[in-house]
Amino acid sequence: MPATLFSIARLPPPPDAEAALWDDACLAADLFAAMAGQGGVGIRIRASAGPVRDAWMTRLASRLGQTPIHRTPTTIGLDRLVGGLDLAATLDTGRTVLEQGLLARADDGVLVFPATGASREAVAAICAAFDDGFVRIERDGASHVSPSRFSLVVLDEADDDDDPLCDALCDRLTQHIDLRSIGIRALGNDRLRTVPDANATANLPDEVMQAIAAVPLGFGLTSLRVSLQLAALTRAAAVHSGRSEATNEDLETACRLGIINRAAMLPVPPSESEARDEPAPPPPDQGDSEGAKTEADEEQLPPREMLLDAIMASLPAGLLEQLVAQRTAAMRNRSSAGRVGKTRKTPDRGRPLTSRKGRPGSGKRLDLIATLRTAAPWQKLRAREDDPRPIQIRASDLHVCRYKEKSASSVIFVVDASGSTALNRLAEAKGAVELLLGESYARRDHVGLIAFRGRAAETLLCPTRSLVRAKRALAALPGGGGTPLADALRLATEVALDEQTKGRTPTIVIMTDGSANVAADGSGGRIKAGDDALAAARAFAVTGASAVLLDVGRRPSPKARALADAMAALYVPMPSANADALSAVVRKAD
Amino acid sequence: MPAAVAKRIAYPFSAIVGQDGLKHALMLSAVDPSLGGVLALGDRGTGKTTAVRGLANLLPPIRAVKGCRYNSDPDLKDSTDRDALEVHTIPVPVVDLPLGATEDRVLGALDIERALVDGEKHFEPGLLADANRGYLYIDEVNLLEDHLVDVLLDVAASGVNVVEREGLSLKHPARFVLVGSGNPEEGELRPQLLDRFGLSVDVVTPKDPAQRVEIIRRREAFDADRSAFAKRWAGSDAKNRKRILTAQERLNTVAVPEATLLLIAEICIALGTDGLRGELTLIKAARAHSALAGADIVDAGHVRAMAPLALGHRLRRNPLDDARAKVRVERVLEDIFAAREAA
Repeated sequence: MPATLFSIARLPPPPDAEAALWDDACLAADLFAAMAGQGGVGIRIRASAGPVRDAWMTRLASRLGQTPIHRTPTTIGLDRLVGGLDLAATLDTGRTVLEQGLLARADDGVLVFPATGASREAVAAICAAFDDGFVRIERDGASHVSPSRFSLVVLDEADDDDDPLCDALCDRLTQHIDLRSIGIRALGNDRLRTVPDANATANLPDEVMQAIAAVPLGFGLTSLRVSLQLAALTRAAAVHSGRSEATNEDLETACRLGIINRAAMLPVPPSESEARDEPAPPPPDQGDSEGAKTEADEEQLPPREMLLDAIMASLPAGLLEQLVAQRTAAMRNRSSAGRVGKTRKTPDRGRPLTSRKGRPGSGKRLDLIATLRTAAPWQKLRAREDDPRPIQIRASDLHVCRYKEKSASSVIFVVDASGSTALNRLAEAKGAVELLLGESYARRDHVGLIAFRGRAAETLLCPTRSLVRAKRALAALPGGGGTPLADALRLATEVALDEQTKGRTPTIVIMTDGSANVAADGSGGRIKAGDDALAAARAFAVTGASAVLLDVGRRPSPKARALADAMAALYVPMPSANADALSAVVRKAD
Repeated sequence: MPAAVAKRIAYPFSAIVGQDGLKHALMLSAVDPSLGGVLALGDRGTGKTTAVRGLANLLPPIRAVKGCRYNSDPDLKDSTDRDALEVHTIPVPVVDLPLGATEDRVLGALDIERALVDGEKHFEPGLLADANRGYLYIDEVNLLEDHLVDVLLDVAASGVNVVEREGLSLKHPARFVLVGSGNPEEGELRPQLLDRFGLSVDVVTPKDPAQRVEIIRRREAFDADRSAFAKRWAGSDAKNRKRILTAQERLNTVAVPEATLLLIAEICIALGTDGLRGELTLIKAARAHSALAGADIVDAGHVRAMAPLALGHRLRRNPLDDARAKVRVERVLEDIFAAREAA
């Protein structure tokens, strides 16, 4: 590797490492400030609230100069963000008064948005305005468009596996800076840089452009936004170091600030990637001469792998572990995000409750009757001769509807009645299930029963509240035959989805020893059966339903554990199916 | 129109690099709006939104009754009123359904302001009214709340929005092409909603470096000077618009021979698609496809080209089997066509 090309040194040990990180963070602030003028630039700051983040924000503010900074409160309602009807003023004046939202006020400025704990609606509104450059008020019967071109600072206080930043927002942010490992001591080393001319711009030579297009793929970032952001960032980095043409060094800087902290994977080492990568053909629409030139360039310039090496060298230690942790957390979250699970709080459906005083908006609906009823006694007092309005309503009269959504839950038992289990465990399992059935009945849960044996699984009982039927179905359950685990999981997935559609929260309890020997299509063979079962388990995980896998084999089996992992289920080995312990486990998963 | 919107120029449809499947599907939906919409499933940042927005610019403007909140077509009004109506031309509406939209905003609701201030009962139309005769675009359709999905299903199927709430009782036309996009990794779409979409396209990020470089170049050129960039591509956009218009006119003259209908039935039976919606959509899609291609009759080639788009999302499947569904369609097509060759 030609050392001159990659002057980035490996990270020195702490606290020099911290100083280097802080230096980068400051550089990021400078670049952000330089680009923020046009709007549509985002930066994500990973740190908890504290002196380091404050110092960074102070520095950013000093760099931004005149550009106003707007901060959103942590829990901001959609009406405050997007704007809407100013109800109090509307009622007082008797004509529509619109209130500008924070997004419209942030036009030509910088919006600071604490993303942790923000509602999905708020994130969606910010993303939309960020993309479009304007915000449409489409609420409460008012329709209005205001410009909203802002740059975005996202404060991400999430821990590694807790509440990761929403992908849609993450994808739109150019720089990703992690301040978490920087201590206060590092803050003194603030290397001041000269502010570049605001109008300067830099060229991206072809080979840098090629690398910009290719590098994010190596880090598992396939989104085209990443490449576009990288191009802009490289250009800004070049301008910042006073160059009119970007070099590989600028690209490295850009990768450090924009790529590393959101990498989904680490690039394959050069030797492997060479074997994998097909030689990239020259673009078909370019002339021969150009194609030849590209090849020649590639010989002189460092191949992509070397660039990756240089970036990798500046990776903080332990990143890989972190990535793995993030991925799994993200997967878990994702599986629950799309579903209408137990976490949903819709204020607009379900059994109506008495309405309550409050302003409509943010999904709350006006209860017109209650509002009028409240206003009625005051009509004579409020009436004035100069006011022609027939009804006098004040903001304090407003009532909003409240609903209580049924939070019904259902427990679906999936019982292995195959030969391997039936011989010694089926009776025990039946006893345990019966106990659970009783308890579920007491809690007014719905209970369903799926059994699998022989060639296929069968729904013995669709989720019901009838305890008698459940008991009868269970007692009549015969044992023996193969273990069609894949089919059982497929059926469990179907039932779980069905339950979710009906607005219930299903918990699946699977009792099996995990040794599948009948494949999804009903044919025999342990290997295929096992693979099919795992595939079906992964499919189940997508539903996001909570699940418990009770390993009722004689001894805990790794197969059952793998299955539970694939299902994102709680794995509980049950060497003896003690009914009481069992019900405690199910309670925990519920 | 506020300055912010007037200034805003969408990225030209014709300047989108790659994504031929998505672009073709969108153009087909423009040729025959009754096709039932387009579902684009795939990674983030692949230009799905850009394509939909670009398409709106591409489509020829429509005539509508001035001041009508439902963009009514003046030619459909009773002949007695027709002369009295003021008519203006508007661009084809493309309405975004924001993820956090409330039911009120989607369906329309009682106009609170007028109810409180003037004591009048007055209906305030929602996004479905705005989308009439145009497109309703739902990004992250798979994350949409279930009750909204139910509403959209009903309206998309009937073309009429029926409002029965808060003492209001009315209906208004809401014919729109539903365009949905989303990333299946983040949540599955309910089969009922899946089936409503006429065509489905899998969108993947281009991995070819040359293509990516070209995308970056064009996007940067666009961002640097939007109007100049749009002007440069105006010619190509006009050509595409003309293709759509010609195809729209020819659509009814394109014949679907008996043999083609049999082939379509054969494909659907072989794939075991539920219901007849798949067959009907495939016939329509193949007809739109041949109209766009300038053919006079729908032949086997057109059917073959359209089958994955029209049927790929209608197979019974398990939630993680997205890729395999398209493969299954291809395999069945290969079998059927090989058998035909042999015969």
